[in-house]
Amino acid sequence: MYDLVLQGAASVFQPWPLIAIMVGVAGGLVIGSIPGLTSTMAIALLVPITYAMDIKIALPLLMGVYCGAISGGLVGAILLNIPGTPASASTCLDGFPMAAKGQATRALGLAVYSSMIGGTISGLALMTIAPLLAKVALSFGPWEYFSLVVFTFSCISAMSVKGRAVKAFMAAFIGLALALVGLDEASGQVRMTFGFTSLEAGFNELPALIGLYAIPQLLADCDDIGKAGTLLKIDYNLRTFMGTFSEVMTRKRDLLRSSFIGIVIGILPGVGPGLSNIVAYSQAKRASKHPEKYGTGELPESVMSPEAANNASMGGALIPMLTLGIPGDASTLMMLGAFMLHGIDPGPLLFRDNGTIVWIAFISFFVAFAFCTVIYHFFIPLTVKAISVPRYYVIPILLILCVVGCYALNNRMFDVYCFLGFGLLGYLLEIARVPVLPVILGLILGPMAEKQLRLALAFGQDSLTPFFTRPISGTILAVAILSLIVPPLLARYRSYRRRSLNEEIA
Amino acid sequence: MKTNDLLFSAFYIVVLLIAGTQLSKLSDTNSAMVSSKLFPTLVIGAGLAVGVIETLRTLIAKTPDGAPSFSMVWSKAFAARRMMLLGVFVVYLFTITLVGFLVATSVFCFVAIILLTPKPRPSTFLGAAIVTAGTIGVIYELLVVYLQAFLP
Amino acid sequence: MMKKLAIVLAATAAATTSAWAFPDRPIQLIVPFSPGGGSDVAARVFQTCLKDHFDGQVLVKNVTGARGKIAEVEVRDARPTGYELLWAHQGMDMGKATGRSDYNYTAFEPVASTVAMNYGIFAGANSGIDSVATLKKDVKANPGKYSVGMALNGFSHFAALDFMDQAGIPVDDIRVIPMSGDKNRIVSAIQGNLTLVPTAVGAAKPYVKSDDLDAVAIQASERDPSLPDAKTAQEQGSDSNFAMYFTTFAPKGTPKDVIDTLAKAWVAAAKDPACQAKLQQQAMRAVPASGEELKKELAQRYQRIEDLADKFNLHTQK
Repeated sequence: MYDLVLQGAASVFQPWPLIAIMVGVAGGLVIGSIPGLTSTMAIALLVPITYAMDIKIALPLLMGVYCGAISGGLVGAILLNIPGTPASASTCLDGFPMAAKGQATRALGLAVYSSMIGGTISGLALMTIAPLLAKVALSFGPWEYFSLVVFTFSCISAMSVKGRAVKAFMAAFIGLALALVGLDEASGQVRMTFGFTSLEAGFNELPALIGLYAIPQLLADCDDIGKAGTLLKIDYNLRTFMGTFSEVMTRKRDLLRSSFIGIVIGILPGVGPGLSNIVAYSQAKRASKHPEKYGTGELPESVMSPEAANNASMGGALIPMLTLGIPGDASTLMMLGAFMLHGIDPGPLLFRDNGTIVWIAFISFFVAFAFCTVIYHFFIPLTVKAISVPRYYVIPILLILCVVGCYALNNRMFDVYCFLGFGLLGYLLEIARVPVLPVILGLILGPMAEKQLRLALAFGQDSLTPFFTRPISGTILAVAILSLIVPPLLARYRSYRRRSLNEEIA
Repeated sequence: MKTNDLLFSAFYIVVLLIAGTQLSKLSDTNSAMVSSKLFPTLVIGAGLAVGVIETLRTLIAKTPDGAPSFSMVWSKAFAARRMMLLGVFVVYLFTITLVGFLVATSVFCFVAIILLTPKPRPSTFLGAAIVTAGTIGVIYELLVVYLQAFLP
Repeated sequence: MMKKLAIVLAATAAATTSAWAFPDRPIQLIVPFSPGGGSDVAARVFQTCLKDHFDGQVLVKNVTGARGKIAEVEVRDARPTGYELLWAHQGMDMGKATGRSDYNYTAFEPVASTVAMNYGIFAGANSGIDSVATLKKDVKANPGKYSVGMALNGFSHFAALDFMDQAGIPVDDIRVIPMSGDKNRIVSAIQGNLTLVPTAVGAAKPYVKSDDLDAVAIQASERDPSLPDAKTAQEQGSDSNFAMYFTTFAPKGTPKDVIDTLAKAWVAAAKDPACQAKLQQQAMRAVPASGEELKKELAQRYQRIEDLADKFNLHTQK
């Protein structure tokens, strides 16, 4: 094992692989931070090019882009309120309000350093207990998956403004209903297409995400043009930025919890960073002593939790891919393709037959995080400058980039029209003061829920009992139900106590 | 703000009802144990239930203090500048397939910058032209030349 | 960039002056599935093979959705110039046979079939089933106990039906579980929730080698070189022959000389031993065929699909 580690390290710490990681991270950061250009797109465009390269350079490059692009999402989320990937969707919730208060540097610093810590923790997990984690991933049957989906769904209640939780669930149901459109892969039936062939592919979640966030935000940004002082006040200086590191360290409990959530959710194929940030945010809020301050951008942990979790998930997502050959999401699926074209069989024997390759991946992942953090210190000032470019230049360019990004995902104009359609939906929801995040969650969770429910029922001969009797599944469901019931009761109890206290004083 | 909430509820229920009409078109696949109709029925049924309950609740509940008024929200949402941008953008999307991506994008970029600039001056046109050329150049160079990607 | 442009311009000029104007710009080979999947890998390997045999640029473009229908319709309705080609397998014909779509291979002009991927029936190692004989015996002893996972009306469904039809295993004695994706089925089989996995040999290979899966039968006339120990269905007395053939199609009405130019290059590339070695590494094999020969093969394959759809009553949506 140790000579494999050394071999891996020896082949990563060479000039070319290091340059590849650096280029990958830098490019990934740029792409990830620009709304409209997603990490999936970056990898989709890059993978075919890596086919012609040596795997020892291709792999570090891909790892660099993967880390950079997913991590870069936080910049768009905080500065523009447009997340670059679903992975940073809940970073918007507090990151943007914090930046809008003039504390953009603080928000960015918190996000960057917690990303780094989350990524490092998951990198350590990757290197030390990957085979063990792979076993955990394999123990997840459809029952556990379905319960997890229910649990994530229940998180919506924790993410919404007081008194409007049901509205958020309605938004989620819109997402679920939209997810039904198209061909049902398992049964081969076409559903809800109203007879249109182009709808048979269903709605891709990325154009939906970009549309839902970008169009309402960019339209709203139009109001700011010509008014002095409404732009984000940028107070960037390196000292403030680096000073946030000590602030991050004051919230160790949140960091550890979020990283743990990120790793556990990350190792499950098909779930990944897109959901972990949401779960981590809602759990941080539930555990917090001041849940009412979430969404206002006051607390550091509300920005840190989703970022620590999504970066932790990245390392997690590599585990099933490298140890079992099972892709977790679109990005890892494409990386698997790259492996195959280089003549490497991803599968349970990858560790045995191509141990060096696995270690190159692990070590590159680690190095990529280190580079990522370093490059951020140069990159953030640039983005801050880019933000202060007049809005009448920024808005059209961002719209164009969204169009390019949506098209490049699948080479289809249909996705670009979806971007517009979801944008209008998002605008209507914004007018109705309903959050858009649950729509995305519904779109992502819908197909997953249906698939796992169907499998659970089919494997269990139409019985519902395994959902409750299987230990992991039962626990998750219990937590989900408790988390829906307990917080309102607790709030009621607290207000009752406060009232009775007040009466006593009076 | 009640009006807005009720409008949203109405919109929501209509969307789900339209989706519901498609349910009847699904057949139970004869070779499957779990049909492809189960989950859609669950989603739309539960969704409608939630919608109806929330609508009733909105009708009964008092309007919370501090919520923005109906007319204020709508006049802001349909402000001239926002609608103008949206209009230009929609036109742009549908001309891409007609005249090609590069031409449509250059025109859109140029026009949108000028329309959005508060007080257009001759220098605005120059700025717009430079920004347009730069954007198109970067996109083309990066995507087509280096990444061998396809443009719409 | 300028240099590249100059070369392209020069090439264009040379091309237009000669009798051959084709190809004067890159050809798009449209793969109907996502990057990293079996179709995509096959197309990209073949793309590298083409470099030595075709003096035009071929770019792979992924357009996914609706089991390939989106891409199929795009090429079907494209201008018949030969610059947009489809990289399809029999899934397209299955759409027609089950009534999901209203066209099959006859809506296109076939260029050449080049690459094939062997399919096989695999079983979870803990099920104890490792041959057609044990499968038959166990199914007979416990009807309804075993399950098979497949994407209904899709390739895996037809492949499994072909096998069970030829092996004489009553379909009603095995529970059918609708699920899509090779990897999903393989994971379920490893977890012990699923018994039989119809999948491409290439996808199953690493799991067979790690003893997580057992090969029941390879649906080909010869053993697959990547799994030399796995017996074919034929060797075990059932004549199931069902591989995934990747055929390149052009829109109907593409000029014959364009088709011929393409077919010649495609077949030459597939016959190249270097290319065959590359394909074999991916558990694929070269099956060069074009012209009338190809049309006959396509008709035969479609007939088998129709027959299976008739026999097992898969015309649900007709």
